[in-house]
Amino acid sequence: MAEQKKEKWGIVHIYSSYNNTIIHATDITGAETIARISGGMVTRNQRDEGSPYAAMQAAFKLAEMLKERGIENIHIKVRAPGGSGQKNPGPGAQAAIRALARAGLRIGRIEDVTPVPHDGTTPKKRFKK
Amino acid sequence: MRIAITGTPGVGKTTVSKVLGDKLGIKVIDITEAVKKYKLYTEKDEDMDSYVIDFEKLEKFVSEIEEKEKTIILDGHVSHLLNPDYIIVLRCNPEIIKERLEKRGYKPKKVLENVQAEILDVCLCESKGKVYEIDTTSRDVEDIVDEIVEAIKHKKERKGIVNWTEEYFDYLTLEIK
Ligand SMILES: Nc1ncnc2c1ncn2[C@@H]1O[C@H](COP(=O)(O)OP(=O)(O)O)[C@@H](O)[C@H]1O
Ligand SMILES: [Mg+2]
Repeated sequence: MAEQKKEKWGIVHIYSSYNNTIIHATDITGAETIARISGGMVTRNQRDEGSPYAAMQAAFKLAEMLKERGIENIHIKVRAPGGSGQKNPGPGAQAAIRALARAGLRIGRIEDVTPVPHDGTTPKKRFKK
Repeated sequence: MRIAITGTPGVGKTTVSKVLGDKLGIKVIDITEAVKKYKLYTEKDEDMDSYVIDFEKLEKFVSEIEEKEKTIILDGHVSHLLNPDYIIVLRCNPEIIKERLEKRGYKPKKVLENVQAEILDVCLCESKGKVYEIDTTSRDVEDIVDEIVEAIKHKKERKGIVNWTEEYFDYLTLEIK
């Protein structure tokens, strides 16, 4: 019988803040870290760590590491403040997602899980689970 | 004219705004309090234990006071979303925010989501226009207020003064549930 190749999936978490972007790949359960790259690791200038360019470079690097591990399919979880609507992640995150796709990874779900500041009041409901 | 004092819950907005308002003789609107008191919300999100703000109603409420007062201080974590002329973003070490919100009796997931919001600069990233950011960690209220008065006077602008993503990365990986 022909050996059936099992698809390997991972989760890529994108954390984008004002000054940095961190891209963190885990196994499908989220428990095991496969790779982790930050804007600071791909740019020499501290001021550029949060830039879309740094995010793109970090994403390309991470994609290579995933492919070396045989992972070609990913779900993405984005935490990226600053987008105008609930569904618009920040510029760093958008650049990273585009780079992951261009690197040849197949993308399943993209989920926005950006934290929402709330006391007894909230500007919007939290991301749906 | 609207001056917004924004930042993650627990950062010290209300404490600072009261002293600032007294010092400048400007009326302060506590947005959280107003939204609850005048029912400026659409519904309650039980999971977040929070009222979902009705921005149309809130805007009307704010503009009526602004008309009378001319200059107002808006104290709240959504104040930067209310078309302010000037925004002060208060920042504070995430672990201090965590302690303060636990003391307030928030459930663990509510504390965690706010801590993550602080680490990821959410209020800062959402602030558009003239913005001045201050790290309040280990500073006296009077000291912070003096800096705000100077900033307002000279329309100073400053962004990107903290980066907590590496040091507190572990908090970001915790799931909110
Ligand atoms: N500069 C400061 N130094 C020490 N404690 C502070 C300072 N600012 C605020 N606090 C304390 O932190 C807690 C939260 O402050 P509060 O003004 O209610 O925050 P917010 O309005 O941003 O939610 C209060 O117990 C307050 O006394
Ligand atoms: Mg308050």
